[in-house]
Amino acid sequence: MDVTIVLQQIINGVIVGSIYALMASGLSLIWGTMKTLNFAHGEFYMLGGFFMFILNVQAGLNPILAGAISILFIFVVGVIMQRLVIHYLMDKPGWDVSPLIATFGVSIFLQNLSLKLWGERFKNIPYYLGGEASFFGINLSYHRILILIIAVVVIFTLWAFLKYSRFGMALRATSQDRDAATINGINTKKMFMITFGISAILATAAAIMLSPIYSVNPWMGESLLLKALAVIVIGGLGSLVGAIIAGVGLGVLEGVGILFFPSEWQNVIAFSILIIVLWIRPSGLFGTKEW
Amino acid sequence: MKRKIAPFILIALSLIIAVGLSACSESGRNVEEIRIGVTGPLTGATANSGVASKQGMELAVDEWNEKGGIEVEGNKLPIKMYFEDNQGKPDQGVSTAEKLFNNEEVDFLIGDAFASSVTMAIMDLAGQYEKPILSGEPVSSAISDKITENPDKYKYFWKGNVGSDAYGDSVYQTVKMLEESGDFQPTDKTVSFVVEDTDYGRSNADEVARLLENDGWKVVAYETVEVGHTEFYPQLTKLGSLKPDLLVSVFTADSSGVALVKQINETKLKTLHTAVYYPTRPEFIENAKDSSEGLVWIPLMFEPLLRESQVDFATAIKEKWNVVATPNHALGYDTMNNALTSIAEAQSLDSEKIVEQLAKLDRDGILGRFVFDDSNHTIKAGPEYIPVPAVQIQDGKNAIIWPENISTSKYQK
Repeated sequence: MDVTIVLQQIINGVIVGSIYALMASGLSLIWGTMKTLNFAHGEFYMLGGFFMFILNVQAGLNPILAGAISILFIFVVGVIMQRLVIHYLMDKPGWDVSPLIATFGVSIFLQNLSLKLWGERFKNIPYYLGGEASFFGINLSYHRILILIIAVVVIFTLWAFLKYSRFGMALRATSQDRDAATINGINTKKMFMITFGISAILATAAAIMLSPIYSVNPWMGESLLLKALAVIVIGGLGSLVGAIIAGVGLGVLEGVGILFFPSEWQNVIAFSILIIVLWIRPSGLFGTKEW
Repeated sequence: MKRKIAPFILIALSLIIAVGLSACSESGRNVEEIRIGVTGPLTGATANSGVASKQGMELAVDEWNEKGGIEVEGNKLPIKMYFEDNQGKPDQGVSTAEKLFNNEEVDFLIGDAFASSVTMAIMDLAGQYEKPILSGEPVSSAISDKITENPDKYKYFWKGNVGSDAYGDSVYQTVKMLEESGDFQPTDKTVSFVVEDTDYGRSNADEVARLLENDGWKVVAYETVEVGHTEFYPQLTKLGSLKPDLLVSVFTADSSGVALVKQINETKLKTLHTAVYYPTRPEFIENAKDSSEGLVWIPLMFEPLLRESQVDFATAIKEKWNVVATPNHALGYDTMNNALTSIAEAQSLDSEKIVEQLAKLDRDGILGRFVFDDSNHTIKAGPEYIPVPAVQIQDGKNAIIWPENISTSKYQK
């Protein structure tokens, strides 16, 4: 088999995988701090896409400004969602299941709201960078290269923020022991709200970069959420490093797998890996057994 | 004593109620209106087609009601449409169809309005409820094949669009014409497919593959993706290594089509690309822009700019819904008119009489002449009936390139 083709598939996989990682990081962050999953995470992604479309295409703002406003807005949406939905369920009986059902309900509500507001037609955002790069027989649009760069920058910034900022330390403390964090003066309720907001920002960053390729529509978050869920389980629930490695790894395996199997096996590959990982390491590649 | 007879009274009452209900269901509701049920996608990846189809159907119903409705057993009755969303999913299609029959007691069901796979799941209900079911846009020949194999079972089921064999033939004849004219010179006669994983996608691809293989072509790749899929770099990289002479793509979601043509452009894949269905949506050229230039596609069923007879309909849709008319509007309108015409001709809501009239249907619609093939209950395709021309996008506009007798332009390399 031609090495160039394999290399091109690896590059394709890394780019798609970086987006899986970006989406999965948001889910992982919420699991790490609140020990729950957000089934409306795909709808943060969807709302991010619509806001980008409205600001960039309809209002004519340049992509950087439109992206910044979209991120700010969806951050607020994430915070509000935590305060209005999750906040009232925390520490109540049934916490294991109640946020899953509640966020699933929010997901359906947001899909139908966007259908009502913006209609069923697909919306397209032009590429932020036109043209294609060709090197060593590999063809790639500049926009995809930009996706990779932005994804790496966003994930690295998140990692540095969590590791070195006061907020990051407070967040990690809340994640490790909520009561001890509260005794030490950390406002954990505020932490939870901001965590939801940051998670929404990560989904919006993915939407901003992917919408020019994937089109904007009310259901765009569904399939990506499914992949992100698989990624965080493979990587280990709550592990940021796990989400990144599993995301990129899954993207590469899907890309290279197509060379050997028909496309209909793409999801089979993803979920077979999930089953194998769960079989060998039930807590995921980088997960802890505490939960 | 009272305690002893109480259970018997309860049982007797239950029996009376049950018999009463059963009698009601046999005699039917009080017929004050003609109820047409429709199941189709109003949400999900194909919602844009479903919504357009619904708008076309509503226009048809309004026109019949403005004329005073339809005469049934001597009384003019208004028509009421009940549309249920099935998200383009077969299981939802069946449950919505059951709901329409049981709760709304519809006299006639249009189902599925859009998807072949949903229709495959629904069609068995026609015999079960002994009510006429007419599909809207689905083309999969697998539907027609089921009818041919068991005509008695599917006596009440009719397929309101042409079959995928007509689509396959259109692609095949166009490729053959381009080969003969020297515009297309395949080196190895290899073809690859990138299609959605539905009955629609597979049936159209299979038909094209069958015709090409009979002509010495070889299928080198057959890639199926889920509905609404938009990441094609892995598939296109694979095709880049196989270097197929011809690529055939079939999608019902135009987002997939837009993404595919853009990514073909980016990956610089050199092949003759022939598309089925998705460029029919007006937003396709708008969103794909230059990447759509030169694309050959089928079927151009609705194009008011090229077919004068469709201009009035396009204006009516614009006036009623303030949207650009699409083939989905036209086929929705025609399907509803075919259903209502059969009821009007039958002058009855009796299923037997309605299907008798469907068999005799010969109606000039927006898309052409609607006549059913009695052997498989499928609308006939061809120049005299519903034409399935092939077009090429030239300077951002559609130009008919096949069949030659109605072509508006030559193929441009």
